[in-house]
Amino acid sequence: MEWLTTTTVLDRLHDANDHSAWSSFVERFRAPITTFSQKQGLNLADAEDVAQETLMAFLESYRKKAYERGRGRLSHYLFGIAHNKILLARRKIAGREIQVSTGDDGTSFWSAVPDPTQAQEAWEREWRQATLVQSLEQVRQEVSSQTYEAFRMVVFEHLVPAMVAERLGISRNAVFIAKHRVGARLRDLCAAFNEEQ
Amino acid sequence: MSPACPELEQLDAYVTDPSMSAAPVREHVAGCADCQARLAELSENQVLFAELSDSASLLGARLSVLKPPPRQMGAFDIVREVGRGGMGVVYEAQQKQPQRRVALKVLRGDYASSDERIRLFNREVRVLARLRHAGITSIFESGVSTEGPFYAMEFVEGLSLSDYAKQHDLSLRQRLDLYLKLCAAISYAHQHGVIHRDLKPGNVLVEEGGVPKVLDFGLARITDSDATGVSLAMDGGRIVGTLAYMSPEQTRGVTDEIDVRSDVYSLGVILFELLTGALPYDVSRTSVPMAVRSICESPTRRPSSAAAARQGDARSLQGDLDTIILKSLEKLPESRYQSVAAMAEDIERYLANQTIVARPPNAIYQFKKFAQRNRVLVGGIAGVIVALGLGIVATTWQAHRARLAERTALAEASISAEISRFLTTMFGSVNPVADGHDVRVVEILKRAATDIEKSFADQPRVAIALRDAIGRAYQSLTLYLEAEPQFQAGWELARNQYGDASRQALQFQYNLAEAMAHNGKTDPALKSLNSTLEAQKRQFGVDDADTLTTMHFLAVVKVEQGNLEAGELLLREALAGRTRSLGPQHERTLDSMANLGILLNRRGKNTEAAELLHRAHDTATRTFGPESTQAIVFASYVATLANTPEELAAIEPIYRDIVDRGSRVFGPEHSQTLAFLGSLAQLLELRCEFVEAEAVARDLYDRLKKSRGERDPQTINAMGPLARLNGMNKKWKEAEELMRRMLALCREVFGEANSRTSDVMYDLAQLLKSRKKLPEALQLSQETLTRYISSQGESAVDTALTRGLMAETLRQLGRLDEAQPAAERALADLRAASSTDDLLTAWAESNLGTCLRDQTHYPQAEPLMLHAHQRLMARLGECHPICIESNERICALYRMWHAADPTGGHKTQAAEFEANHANAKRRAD
Repeated sequence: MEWLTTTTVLDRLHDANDHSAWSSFVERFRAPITTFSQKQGLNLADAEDVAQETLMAFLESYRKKAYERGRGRLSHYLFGIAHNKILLARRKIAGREIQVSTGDDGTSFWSAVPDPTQAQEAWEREWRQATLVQSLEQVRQEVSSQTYEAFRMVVFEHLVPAMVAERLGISRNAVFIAKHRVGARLRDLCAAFNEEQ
Repeated sequence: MSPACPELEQLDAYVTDPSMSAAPVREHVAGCADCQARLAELSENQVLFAELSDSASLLGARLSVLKPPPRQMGAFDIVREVGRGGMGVVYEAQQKQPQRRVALKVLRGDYASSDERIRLFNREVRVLARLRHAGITSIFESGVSTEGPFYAMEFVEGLSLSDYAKQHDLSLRQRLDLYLKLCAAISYAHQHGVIHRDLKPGNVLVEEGGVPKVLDFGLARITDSDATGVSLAMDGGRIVGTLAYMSPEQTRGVTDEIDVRSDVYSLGVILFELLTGALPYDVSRTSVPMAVRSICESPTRRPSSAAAARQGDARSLQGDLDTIILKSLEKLPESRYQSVAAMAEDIERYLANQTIVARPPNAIYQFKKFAQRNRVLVGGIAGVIVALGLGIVATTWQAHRARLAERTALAEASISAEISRFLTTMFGSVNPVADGHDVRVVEILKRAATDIEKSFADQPRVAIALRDAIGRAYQSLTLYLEAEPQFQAGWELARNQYGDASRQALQFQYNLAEAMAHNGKTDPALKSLNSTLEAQKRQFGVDDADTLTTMHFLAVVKVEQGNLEAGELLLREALAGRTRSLGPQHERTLDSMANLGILLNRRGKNTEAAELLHRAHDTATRTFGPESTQAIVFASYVATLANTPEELAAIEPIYRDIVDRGSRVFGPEHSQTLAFLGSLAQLLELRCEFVEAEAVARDLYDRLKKSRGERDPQTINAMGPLARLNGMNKKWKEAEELMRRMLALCREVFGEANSRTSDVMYDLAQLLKSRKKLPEALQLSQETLTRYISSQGESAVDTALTRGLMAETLRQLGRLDEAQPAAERALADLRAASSTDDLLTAWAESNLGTCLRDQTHYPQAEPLMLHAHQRLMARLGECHPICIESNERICALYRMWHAADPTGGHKTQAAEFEANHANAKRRAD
């Protein structure tokens, strides 16, 4: 997929017919909102609905110029919407549960929900992870499959470079170069990402 | 970096634990700025990597996504990843033996861990392996790899249907040919017991040779337990993309109801998009629950409207293609084509210029008879005109649609097949050479109708369905005279077969009554509608769609008969029922609302009328779009709110716009467009623009004559206004000839006893009176009076109007002693009928006043004539011929009165009215 900066994506979102901008936007922000919603106590289906509704609501207000880049971080703005949507979803779910439960034994949905004041922190964590994953995905598309594989084995599988070199049939130095190259690009992308938000 | 600097590996180790590094390295980096900088970077990397590594468990599936494609899977060399869905990953791969390019679909990690899913996956693979069709990607082999279960299939490289059509600039026919190939593939799969369930453009690729290939066959089946959830949960922008192609039963997640007809629906969406470039419902910017609601509840817009909205070719989609696509997109599976093959057959029929089997869901009704009727006193003056929009409109396209959806018993596949065979034979039996080139559908229908009895004597259910089909075909051609015997025969058969109170029999009874009402048989129609309604209420309840349809139409007929009060009550009940059972935005609800608005306007309840008509129009515009049939028709209703000359002037541009939109959306010879044209002529006439009104009426008549022939009821009806306007423009000879021709046609086509024939006799008598052919006018009006008395009763509105005409003729003949009682009776009857339009009563007052004047009863004549004049002026304006005539009558009254009593000041009064008269005449000229 073509790598678009958030600014580009947002600019192109003004064009209702630009489906690829919409896809990029959704691709980028849906996962963190879904995971965040799940961590706020929603099941996957409800969390996905929240993500969908949050993105739609953002799009609508963005097109109406309610959100302007210069006036605040995108992540904060999205958090505001997502948080509201989660509260609404909770209310709906609580309604559903009241209908089926016979009484509150202290383990109801509401009591399982984390303290909303912690939500902002949770959101920031989720946002950071999403940034990392997306940057990593981008790097993967940019580098050769061998470079990426060397990096992956070292960082995620915790294999020693010698073993990685042997498995991939490359020199040990090449493994270190791969790890360093991925790391350097990853830093650049994360920094750009953060700056844009 | 200098050559003395440590290797990357050494620096990396240093970052991890400086104390473990060799002393020379430590010493070097302490004094080397380059190495310091590099170490800083490496250190940042370490932090990032640690963060990623820590997140690995949390990120779970997301990180597994980031795995590079495997290089090999069994006998396949992986070339690249080509796609990734919610459940699996697709790779392009090269098979070693045999050497071929394949697509490898691998069930994704988190799905591959479920035994149940693996079992379903394997079952699916076995089923799919049996499918061998040029339009379906073949499965070569399957297995389990370290990546998970997989299967290898033919690798297809191509474009989506729409992209292919765009890139090759395909014509409509070429697009349909391409689409038929797709249908053939799906139909083949259905015959082998495989339902796709996830048909969407992404799953159909067209190869360079123009062969569409269906991908992903049966993948949806894997997700049996959560067909909706999984599809909706697909990544990113695909959520809504997928949803748009799902049938209502799929979006509701009712897996039990998903069958071949769900694929019919998805194919319908694909065809909609292929031909219009748009989707039936715009769900692209809405939440999932709202999108589901749209798909399950909103009326589907017509493909032609969607095309028009995008400046596409709306015209070629109107009619059959609209019908075919809308049928495939019916909400209820039982109302759709029952198979992909049936849908494909209809498209083939369309391409071969044969009649399609699907019936149009929207046979549009015409403006009702009395709106078109010439209840006019054509005179040297003209006559009282039925005000624009007096006609109540019964748009039974909704009714047809309702019946279509709910007529399950008649939709049995075997019956459809019989009908299809029969009609094919019928069409085949027509020899264009032997029968002449002008072989019309009507002739074929006629032939079919006569053959039913002998062909299906032992298959009553087929005969019933055929009577129904042929009756409706006639009905949609507005050939009610021909439709009537079909419904009559069908009703009898249905009563025998299903029972008097069965839905089928009651539907026939309703259709029969509707046809009778159109054919002027108002009384038997009313009787039949009443008994149908009672039976439907008993059998199906008051909120049943059929019951409400009958109630609505009964109201229309009551109004037409002059019983406005009963009509209002029934329409209010129908509106309440439809709002309850269908919702406030349903087209049938809006239809009842709009009709009630027109009726209330006519009854003088203007505020409520305006509120209802605006609401119906606004809702239709919002729900169906500004170019929809409903929005355009309702706009024409809103225009009927205009009453005063100023208001009429204000709506003229609106009306012209409606005519333009109608021509654009429906086509210039479409019955709806012609109805708008007729209304425009009426409006112009009310505005005294007689020359232009005549031109429009002439245009309407010519279009009808050309498209339907001279003997068509609509064409005959259009002759009346034209003749009247000929008269207005002093083309008396032309007017008389046209009217006489019209009467002859009425006698031939509608029959001597038909009420329409009486109406035309009345109009001709008017015309003859104005041409001073008084004896013939008198004879004709007396004849007409006798007919109305026997058909409608002594005091009916038509009887009263005819009696008034006769009185006026007698007056002009100087037979005042006979004229006066007739004029008095006419006025009394018109006043008694609450439904009578104010103009008619006013004119009757003027007539009686004139009669009294001629008998020198001036003091009695004066108030009647002045009162009448005031009301006529308020409605029509001073330059209208009726008002000019009324004014002239008053001038004569004061002149005669002054002659009899020179001291009464009547000369001044005469002078005042003479001045008015001169002004008005000058302005009118």
